[in-house]
Amino acid sequence: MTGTTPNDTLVATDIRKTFRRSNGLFSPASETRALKGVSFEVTPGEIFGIVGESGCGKSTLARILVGLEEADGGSLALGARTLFGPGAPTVSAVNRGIQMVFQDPYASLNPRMCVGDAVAEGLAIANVPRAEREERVAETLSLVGLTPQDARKYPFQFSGGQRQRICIARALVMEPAFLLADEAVSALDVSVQMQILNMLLDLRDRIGVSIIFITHDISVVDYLCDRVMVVYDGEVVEFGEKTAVLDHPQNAYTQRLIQSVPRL
Amino acid sequence: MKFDFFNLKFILGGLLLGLVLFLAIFGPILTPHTANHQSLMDSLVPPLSEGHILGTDHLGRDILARMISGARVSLAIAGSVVLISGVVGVLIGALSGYLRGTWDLVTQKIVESFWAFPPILLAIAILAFFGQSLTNVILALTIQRWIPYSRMARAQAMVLRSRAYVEASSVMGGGLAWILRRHILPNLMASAIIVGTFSMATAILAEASLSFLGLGVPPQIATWGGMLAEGRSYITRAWWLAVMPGVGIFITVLSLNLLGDWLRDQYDPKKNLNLV
Amino acid sequence: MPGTEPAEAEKPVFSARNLSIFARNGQKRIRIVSDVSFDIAHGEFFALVGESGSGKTMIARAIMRLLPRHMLEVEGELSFQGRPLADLPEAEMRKLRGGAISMIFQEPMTSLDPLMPIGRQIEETLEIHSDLGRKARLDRIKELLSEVRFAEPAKTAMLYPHELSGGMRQRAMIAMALANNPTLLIADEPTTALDVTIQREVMEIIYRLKEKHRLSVLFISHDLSLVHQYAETVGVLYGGVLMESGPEEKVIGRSAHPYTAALLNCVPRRRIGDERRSGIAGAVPSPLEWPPGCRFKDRCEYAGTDCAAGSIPIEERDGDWTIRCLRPLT
Repeated sequence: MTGTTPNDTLVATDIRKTFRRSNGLFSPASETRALKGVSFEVTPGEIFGIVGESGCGKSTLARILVGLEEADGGSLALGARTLFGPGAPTVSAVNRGIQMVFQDPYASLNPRMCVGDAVAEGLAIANVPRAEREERVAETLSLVGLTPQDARKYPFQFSGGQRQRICIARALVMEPAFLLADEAVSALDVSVQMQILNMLLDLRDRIGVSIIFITHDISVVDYLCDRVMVVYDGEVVEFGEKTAVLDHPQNAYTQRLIQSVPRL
Repeated sequence: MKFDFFNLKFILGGLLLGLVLFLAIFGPILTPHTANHQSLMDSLVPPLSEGHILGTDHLGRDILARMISGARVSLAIAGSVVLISGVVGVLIGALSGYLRGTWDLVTQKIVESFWAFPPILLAIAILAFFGQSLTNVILALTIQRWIPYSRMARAQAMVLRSRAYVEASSVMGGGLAWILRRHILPNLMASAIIVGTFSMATAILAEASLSFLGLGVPPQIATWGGMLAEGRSYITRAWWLAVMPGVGIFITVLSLNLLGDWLRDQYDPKKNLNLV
Repeated sequence: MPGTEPAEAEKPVFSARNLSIFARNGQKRIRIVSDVSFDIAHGEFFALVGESGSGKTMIARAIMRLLPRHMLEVEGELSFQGRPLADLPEAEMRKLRGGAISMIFQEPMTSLDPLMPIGRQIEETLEIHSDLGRKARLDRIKELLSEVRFAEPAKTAMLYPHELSGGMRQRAMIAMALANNPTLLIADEPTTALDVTIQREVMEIIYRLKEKHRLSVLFISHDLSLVHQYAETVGVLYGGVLMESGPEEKVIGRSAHPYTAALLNCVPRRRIGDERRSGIAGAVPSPLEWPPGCRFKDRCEYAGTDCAAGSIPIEERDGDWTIRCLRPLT
């Protein structure tokens, strides 16, 4: 597989998003400020953790980064290239070089599509010739610990952990510079979770892909990430090296969050 | 997906529908008579008579031959109606469920206004306006029949659009046509087939009703509904004139409903509920 | 025999003896839970830990006799305060459920009536299980709600379930479960759907109530860290078999069973340098594909040919620690 090593830093600046919900004709629309100006950067080859509890805006942020949702304000740039932002044309999702892995391995794969087709989907959309597609699918499946023979099987023949591997393969086949995993191990059994975490570490070491790992689980961040950003109520409350943030949290919320985690 | 073929609904429905299909396809081989050949000498011959297994009508026409013609008309009309309305309905519904917004708003209003008409009245109006012909009967029956498909497709597309695999597809550059073709439509097919089977049964009934009212296909084509209408006045003297087409309609509708029921059971997620 | 009772100790509140649960699948009879035995003493916090498919939820439901009988068969003996639960007529069982044995679930919304205020729902269980008058019932509701740390119990009682957050709902569920002074509280993954900060609140409440009322708790979880923090006794399930059980400091602290040890090794924590935690290879097989002998043997790094030979005997240590393994680690 050709390297996916990113050379550029991903810089997000002041990303804002407000959801409006109309409450009918006679009452004013209600507003939820999901993101109140979030800025951060992810450097090439690092594993960057975004931690927060439900409703803090971390999933909205993920959707904005990959282009499933549009930000109301702020900008995103990969090196010198602006992905979206004021005065610049918005780069389409597929051209951003950020691919996503979702939380629920059971909803992430079309039950009527065989694994090979699922993994090759992005290539098929881009009209890559069939022979090349098959070759790259086989390579990528071995990269995530599956066999090229698995390409002919259907999702129901796989366990949750294997499905998550398939989803990671589907993302990697696009050769993204950044892999964005939104709670990608939360639905898995602990024994399988550790396999996937180790695989992500290996992938980073072997092909140099940067990983943005979104989670609510501090212990996973502690295992996996290099740097971490804590999000609370749409704002970044703490940001920095993992060891610094987790061992010496400065913010009151971060302190409470870390204290709440049961430890072995 | 494992289908349970050893099932009363499937076996009975399949046999009955097979019988009707067999008649429609190979019927002409079974009887020397044609549907419209009159022979006043042989009028009102009862069933099981020499040369006329199902008897003849008041003009001496062979009932079996007319039944076969009726089966062909019914199945052809109902089949085309189901196919056209299915394709149209599923596409419209899938689009409104996936796109939401203006398209959805507009199609929903159309659906609601179509729904406000009593179906048979709308069909009568169309036939009165455009005249009687095979295509117009198909048009008249299709005009409302796409709606159940579109409702089903819309509801399912709305769920499917937020599935992670659909979102993943759009992150990988999948456009509207791609996502519809690869993700939404394949996952709608099962439900569409079930809706189609039931819809076929009601289409056959509707076609028979129109023919009964004299509004169906042109009168020179023998249909079950038309035979029923003609036989009505002889019901006391020659019961077979009305009963035979009635049985034809009954068997066809019953078989389709049985098969539809069976299909629905097969796709019911609760079927495979066994906790392991 | 498993779990011989300590001679001088009081009788356990709850005991399971050789509990097996079978699922019927057409003509087949599939063993989902095999030969599980454990006791819960008065005021004891007992945790059943396991991954998906371990049968932990099935066991909780079997205790409450909430399993659909035409699909699942229960064998072995479950007894509560010395009385076998299987012999109780349904009417008595109903009295026990929500009375002396009560249960809380992962998703409280499924067990709360969305059309009824919280207070009214608690009152209903009081009406069914107690003979308190109206005034006494209202006082009790306020008392219960303040026990689960609602600052304004009278106000909370008027709220509908959808007006509460996830954590508040779970606390309301706990208040409801406690309404009739239960002896045994079964908590099935009560905090899995909650954020960690809220999880801590809820766990603290459960723990404090246990201490205060000498409540026995059967806590079902997949989270070893949580179990380590709160449980006194731990049973580790895998594939419907109780692999290891005993005091927390022995099972988690000195794990003798390779599965327990491997499971502990799966809990993420900080890596030093390039270190990797080993985890467990493979995935939990489906009940249809369980290997003969030890069910963990295909994933176990210590397994030998004898592990497949037949059912694995239980080894007992110190009278309170059981290990179902031919090659215990310690």
